[in-house]
Order: sequence, then C-alpha cells, then structure tokens
Amino acid sequence: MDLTSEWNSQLRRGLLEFCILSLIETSPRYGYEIVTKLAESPQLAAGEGTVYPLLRRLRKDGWLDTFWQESVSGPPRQYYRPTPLGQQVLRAMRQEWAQLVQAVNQFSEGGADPT
Amino acid sequence: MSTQQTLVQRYLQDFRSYLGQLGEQDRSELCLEIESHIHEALSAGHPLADVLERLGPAKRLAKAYTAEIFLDAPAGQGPSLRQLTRAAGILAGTSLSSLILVPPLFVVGVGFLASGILAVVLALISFFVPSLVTVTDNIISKPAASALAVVLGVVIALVGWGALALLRRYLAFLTRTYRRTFAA
Repeated sequence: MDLTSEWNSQLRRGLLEFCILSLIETSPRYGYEIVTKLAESPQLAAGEGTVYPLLRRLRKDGWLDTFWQESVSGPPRQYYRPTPLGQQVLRAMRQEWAQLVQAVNQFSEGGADPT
Repeated sequence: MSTQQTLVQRYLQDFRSYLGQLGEQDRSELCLEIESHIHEALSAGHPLADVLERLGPAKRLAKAYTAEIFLDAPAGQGPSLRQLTRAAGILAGTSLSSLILVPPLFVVGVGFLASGILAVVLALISFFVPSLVTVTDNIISKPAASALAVVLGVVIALVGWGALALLRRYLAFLTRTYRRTFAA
C-alpha cells in the first residue's frame, strides 16, 4: 500500500467538495456535466463512483439542493445548485485555500528563509 | 441496441437491489440519476462497456452511496459491526424502557390530572351549595371538608401534571436519540 494513499484520498476528498461547489456556483449543472468536468483533471481522480455519492452527501449536509428537469431525449436530469449555506461554505473554503496555498508555498519554494 | 438496453436494465436492477437499506424514494431517485448518467454518456458517444466500467460494479456503487448517506465514513466502507450493534442496542434498550415507562406515566398523568380537577370542581360546588353534601359523621365541618378536597384535588392534579411532563421529556429524549442513531 502506498505510504501517502490515505492522506492523499482525504486531501482529494476535501478538495473535491471545494471543486464541486465552485463548479455549480454560478449556474446549476446536472450530474453528468459535473462528472465530465471533474474528469478533465485526472489529478483529482474523481470517478463516477466517487462523485455521485459525494453529491448525495453534500445534499444531505445541506450544501446543495437539487431539481429535476426533463431532457430533450432520455430520462430527466437532476440539477445541482448550492444552497445559501453552500455559498457561505464556498466563500470560507476559498479564503482558507488561498491562505493555505500561500503558507505552503512559502516553505516549499526553494526552502526560502522568510527572515 | 436491445442487448444494450438489457445490459443497462440489468445494471440498474442490480444497483437498486443493493440499495435495499434506503427508502423507496431515495432508491428511485438514485436509479434515475444513474440511468440519466448512462444515457448522457452513450449520447456523447462513449461505448456502453466503458460507461459501465467507469461506474464500477453496481454493488460497489450502491455501497458507496449507502456509506455516504448513512455515515460520515469515507466512501467504500459500510457501517461497521460496532455501529450496527450500537444501533441495535439502543433500539432494544429504549423499547424496554418505553414499555415500562410510557403506559404508567400516561395512565397516572391523565387519570390524576382529571381526578384532581374533578375534586376541586366538586369541592367548590359543595362549598357554595352545602345542601348538596351529606356529611355522615361530624368529625369535620362542611366548609372544612370542601377546603380539604380542594387541597387534595390540587395535589393530585399536580402529580398527574408532573407525570405528563415526565412523559413529554422522555418522548423528546427518545426522538433525539433515534434521530442521532438513525440519521439519514
């Protein structure tokens, strides 16, 4: 077993929630769209088997809600959009992420000494 | 095309059967979403075999869903034996305590409250209309008997009210416990 696999999966999971909220921030998207968009970034390793259950969880947690819309052909699509709570969470995540990246970069970039 | 449809139907049937722990509405919704996903992917030109492979085995997908919905455990892990045992224990324990507590508290609560109120009402009537009352021996005067009945009535009613208040608190506790244990 990979030494960092557990750490990696926890990290990715948290970031995945961040990415999903960001994806639907401005316009609602349906499941297939979200999965396809995320699959464009293989680093996230976000397959269907991860993303769909996660969407359900985020809905349960009250970060997203859903509505169904008929599609031109085939079964209706379930659209996801952030709730007011989800928007609040997204703003907080964004801030946190920016600070985190800054802090980590400070150490990782050539071991720069801040003093 | 028809073999393809059969394969999709079989996958969805399998998926649904592994979602057994969820409610009917949840299961239908999840199946519809996966069906929609398969349809979109096929429309985008992906071969069915690839689409199903990316979704993973129906059982694993269903398990990932139930794990996310029931517990805050990472996807892929079902509820642990300890969690199941705990839920079963809470259910069994509270069933027993409910059996012991609810009927007596209810009977005492309603009975005492009603009797207490009735005693006070009758005492007041007898106080204002003494002719209605027959005192068999003269140990106690009529007004004193009325006053005593009012006091006793109030005490009895308070006991009844207390029992109902306890019952209410117990039921609230039960609701909270169940909600926490079986949160979905």
